[in-house]
Amino acid sequence: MRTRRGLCYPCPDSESRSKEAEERAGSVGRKRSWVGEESGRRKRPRAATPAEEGAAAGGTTAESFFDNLPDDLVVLILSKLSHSASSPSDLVRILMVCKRLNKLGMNPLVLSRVSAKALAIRAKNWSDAAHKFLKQCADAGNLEACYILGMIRFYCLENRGSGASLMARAAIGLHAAAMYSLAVIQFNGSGGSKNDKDLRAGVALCARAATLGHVDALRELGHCLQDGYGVRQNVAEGRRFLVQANAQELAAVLSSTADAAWQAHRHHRLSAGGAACSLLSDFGCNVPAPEAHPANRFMADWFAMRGGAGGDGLRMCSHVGCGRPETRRHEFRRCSVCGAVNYCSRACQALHWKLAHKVECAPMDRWLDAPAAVAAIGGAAGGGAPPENGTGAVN
Amino acid sequence: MAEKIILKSSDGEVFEVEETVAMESQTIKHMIEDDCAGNGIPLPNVTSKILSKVIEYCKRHVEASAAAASKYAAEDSSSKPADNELKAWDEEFVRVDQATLFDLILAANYLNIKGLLDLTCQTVADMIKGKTPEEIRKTFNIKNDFTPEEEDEMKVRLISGKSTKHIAVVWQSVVKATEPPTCMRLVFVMENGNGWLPAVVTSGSRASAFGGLGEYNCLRCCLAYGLLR
Repeated sequence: MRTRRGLCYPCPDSESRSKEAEERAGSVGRKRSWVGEESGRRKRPRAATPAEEGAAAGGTTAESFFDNLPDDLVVLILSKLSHSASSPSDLVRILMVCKRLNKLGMNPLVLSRVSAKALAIRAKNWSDAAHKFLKQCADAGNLEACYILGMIRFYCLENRGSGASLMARAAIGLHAAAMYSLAVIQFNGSGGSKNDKDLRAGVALCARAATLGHVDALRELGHCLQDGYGVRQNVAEGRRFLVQANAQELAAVLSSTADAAWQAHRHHRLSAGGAACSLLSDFGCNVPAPEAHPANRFMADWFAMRGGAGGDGLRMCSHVGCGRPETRRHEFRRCSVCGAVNYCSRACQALHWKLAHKVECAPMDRWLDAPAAVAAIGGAAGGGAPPENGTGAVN
Repeated sequence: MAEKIILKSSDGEVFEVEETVAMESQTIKHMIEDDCAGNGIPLPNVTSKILSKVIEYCKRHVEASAAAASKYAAEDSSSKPADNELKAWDEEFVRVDQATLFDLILAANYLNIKGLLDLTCQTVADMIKGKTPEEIRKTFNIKNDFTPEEEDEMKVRLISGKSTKHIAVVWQSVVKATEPPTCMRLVFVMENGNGWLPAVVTSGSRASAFGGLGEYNCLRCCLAYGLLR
């Protein structure tokens, strides 16, 4: 464990002597206000540091304390910095300070602890450098980076195999969002044909993610149980999971610091009357919509910049916060009442219903069946779920 | 009943501490367990000033964990105020000059005291966070050992992933045509996957000072020279 100056730990006595020699040989015009303390130096060699005096007098022989730290301690400091970083620029700045920090800043231990906020890249800033950085973080074992890079590669760069394997790596590390994304891929058979759908695998992944408390997975699992989709039908269990999803979301909002914003939001809702985000609407409790994960926001921006999900009439999930595109025609299922919107998963459908679709959904082809349609919508509002054609109809 | 352990700092001062306090340090704990603590434990890498601070930290934290343990036994659920108190004490503890802070890091590493090491390293990390590279250099008196060319190269690579070689060549050709002011050094362009973003100029000059060649035309030059893409 050697430092840059070749010492394992600075020996106080020899160091004070060498520093004194340095100063005597050094600049003439420097302030010598601490000369009187020299006799006290032997006892407290670090008391008046040349670095601080040097900085005050502009001396160039001053030393940085970082030079005295061995590499593993600097790596520890940088990993704490990366863990508490709130934006990518925090990391970039430390890489530009000096060569040693540049080298140690790219140490796998530091990269593996990069926080999610520092990895939240915007689609307009996408570049080879960003790709390389995410890859390095993922290689270092950063689960969030594995997930984000997996999503980007799978949906945006259309590299299905690599994207899925990265997400699998994050899922093995118990990253709930990665498990849920893999479940959605399994339910839809994304990246393959209609026959590649694996409902049971999807349900298993959802169950795993649900045990970790992932709200969308809980909702998806609840709907699967209610409809007997990929798992034996059990309406009571399904209802229980849906209620648990709502409770989890409420708990998350209450425990976050967005409490003040929520209070303000409630007042706004009462005055605006109608344009509200309503969750737990059948219980009369209004909760602000959850913030989109950086990966979802990236995808939404990416496809917005490109004007859609790609060629051949592929559509996007109508829940704007999701950002997933179809990978083949007619992959997503549509609302069975109006047929105007389509979703990648039932969790997205439920969320979008409560956020926006409830007020705008109107049966287009059933003018004659008006009473039945009204009954369907009324029934749905009571049960807290949108009307649906069971397990079938894609078109 | 509590045994006292003798610690000797590098400058000869002797400290007497209770065994529980000394055992906060894993290094000392192993020495005690291996029965090497008979005549006192010499610590040649720690001065008395730092050792007294370390002992202060250990004492406070041993007290806090003892209080928490007794609270747990009494099934008292209100440990929040004690936690906040300890946090506030910790914050005050690390409000020292840089020399002492870095010495504490080295001492905590040598004595293997995880809590103190985490606390001090996090403090330094917080000092770094939010500062520009120049501010970081000033705070910690770090020498900038990058050459200006290397710095530009890094900036370009960090933003665009491309090297500066091609871009510099283009700029040189542009320079001859338009006689720009000497303060400018380099122009680099960013690719956003859809096309080109406007050129960014280092050294704080605007592209419009390029003798009339606006950003868009710079890019056209780059493309025309065929050196990018």
